[in-house]
Amino acid sequence: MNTRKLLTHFSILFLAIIVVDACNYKHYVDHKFRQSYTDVNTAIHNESPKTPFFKIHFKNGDVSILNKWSLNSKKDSIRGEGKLYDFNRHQIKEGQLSFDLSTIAIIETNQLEAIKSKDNEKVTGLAILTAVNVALAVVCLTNPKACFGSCPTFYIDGHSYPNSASAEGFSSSISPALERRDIDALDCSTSARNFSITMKNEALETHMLNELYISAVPRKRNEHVYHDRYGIYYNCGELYNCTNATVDNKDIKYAINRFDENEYFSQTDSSELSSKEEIILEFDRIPDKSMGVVINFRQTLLTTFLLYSGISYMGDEAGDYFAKIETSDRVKKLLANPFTRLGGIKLSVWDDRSKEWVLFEELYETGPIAKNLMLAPLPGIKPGNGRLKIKAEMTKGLWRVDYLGLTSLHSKSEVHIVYPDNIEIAGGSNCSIDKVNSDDDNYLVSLPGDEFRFTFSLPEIEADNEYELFLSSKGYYLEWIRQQWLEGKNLPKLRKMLLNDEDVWHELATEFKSMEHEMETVFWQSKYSKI
Amino acid sequence: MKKYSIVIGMALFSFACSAPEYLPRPQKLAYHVKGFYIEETKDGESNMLGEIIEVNTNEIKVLPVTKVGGIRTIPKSSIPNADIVISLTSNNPEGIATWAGLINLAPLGHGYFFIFSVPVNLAATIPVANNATKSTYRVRYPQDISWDEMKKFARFPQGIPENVKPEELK
Repeated sequence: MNTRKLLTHFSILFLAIIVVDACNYKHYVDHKFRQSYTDVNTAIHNESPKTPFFKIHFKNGDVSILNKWSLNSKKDSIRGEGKLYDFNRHQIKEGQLSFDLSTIAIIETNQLEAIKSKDNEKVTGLAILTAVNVALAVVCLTNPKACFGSCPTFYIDGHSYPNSASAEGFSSSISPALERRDIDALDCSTSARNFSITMKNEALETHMLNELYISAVPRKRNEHVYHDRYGIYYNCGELYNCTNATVDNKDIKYAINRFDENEYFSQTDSSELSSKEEIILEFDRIPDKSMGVVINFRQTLLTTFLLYSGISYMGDEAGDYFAKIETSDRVKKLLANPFTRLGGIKLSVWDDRSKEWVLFEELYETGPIAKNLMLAPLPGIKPGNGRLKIKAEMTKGLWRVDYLGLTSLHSKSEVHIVYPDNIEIAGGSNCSIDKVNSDDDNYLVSLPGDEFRFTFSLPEIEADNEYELFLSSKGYYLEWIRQQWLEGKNLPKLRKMLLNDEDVWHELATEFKSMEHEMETVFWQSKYSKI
Repeated sequence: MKKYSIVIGMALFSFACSAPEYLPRPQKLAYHVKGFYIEETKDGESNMLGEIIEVNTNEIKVLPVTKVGGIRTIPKSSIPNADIVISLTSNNPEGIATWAGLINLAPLGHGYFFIFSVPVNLAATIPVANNATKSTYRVRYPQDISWDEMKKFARFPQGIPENVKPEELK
């Protein structure tokens, strides 16, 4: 489409929206959508076949909404599931309720077919407008290397070289409806009173940060602190490295026994992207205590490839599809299919008594940039003769594992939540902390090249203790559509991909295989710096 | 950078208003347990009177939105025209207003078309955002409902019970 045509369509759209929405703010309806009965028997008789729930006004001013109602055998009381509210409409009971018919003043029913949300009209209008805006933006986007997708990256002061991000926030939240909270271990401990961290937007994305805080967990100097996937923190003792680590009888111990830049990862299967592999770990001389698996890991670029492939297949209808994510749970679930197919890292422990593997955790964290340090507490199984065997089952070529080991659990941790007391925008000016200090409708918006430095004041800590710091961020981000992606529009292929069609997944496997060896290099070279 | 600041400023200014908290969303209407709100209409102007607490023979009792001063008793004869406000027409007014606001950030990537696309975006998105946060379903008095029929929209359709002290109503 040439620019002139695009502008013409834009104008027509503008006029259409103005006409449709011409400030028609009052929609009149027939009052008969609500029926009320002072004669309880009439209400029950008239409404029983068609009304699954009643609103009951009582003589004392209370009101109840009752679902799945029925009468008792004597027909002098009504019961069902519901809620009871007092005269100020504060909820006073919930669950199975039963009321004597003599206490009822009025029964009310509502037929609400005429009173439905008009959001679809607005969503359609905004989706068209979004698509036109995206198309117009594409005309102006000329950076061919812009394939770095990152969500917000966080850097502790002094660590801003590539691949040194301490955390990447809410990586799986690619639209408002997918907004999530993300906890990241910062691998940073301190006893100082002040701490600061810088958030960068290094991709062609709009980042919407809703809430940000530090969880500061006090620990003794000989302890470690880790969090599990439910956001529970544990003070832990020393780490226990494995004595053997193999994948298909190949030794990988050298890659996973230390926290360093050396990671274990494999290549994807050339015909099936969800093919699995197993890391078998053996431990000796493990104490008879509560233990947990410690894992430091990140994703390869496979999920990035799949996300960009999906958006590319949407082509110039990407705006429509992202609008559907907002309004349709079915589309939202479909979008999750590719990632469900790949799965997380399943952790199992060998039970010597039952002679079988016992699955106890599945970890999943989106993102290829910052490593995730997490804990998976073992279930009741204790080491036999000091020995334990752990299995990590995962999709080939999907994960890069830096460390896998065991630790002893001391206790669940005391956590101090600390919100930033200052936000400095790169360039010198300040920004209101109200944007990030609560989970509300107030967002900090970050555009490509933006940087924000957050400063925190930590509470005083006992001598010989220090804080282990974790970052909690909540928000979402929007990918900017790249020119190259529009050329790959293929809606039938998108549908097949989301429905796990085997042929399309085979094609994806072949395509990924052809670029897998160089993806990491291209990715890190294409970070977006200053706008 | 100046032009970016202008766009962001305009977008934030335009979409700062939010939907009234006291009005239910359509999807929550079946579970709405308070009275509906009555708005007096006169010469094209509207005056929100408050939540309908009780409609009796000669008067209507309302609780103002601000709750200041407690229940007001108003003679029916002094309200020739009114709307009963049933609900908003949007289930997610804040989400739609935010989306509409965000669209106005798109011109940042429009280069020279910025001058054209900013006003067009604002002119198109402001009505959508306003509609989401202000548009309502209503019943019109006296055209579509009588005072007697209006009782069912009160918090206490049976009248304020004797055991309830009007000054304790919130």
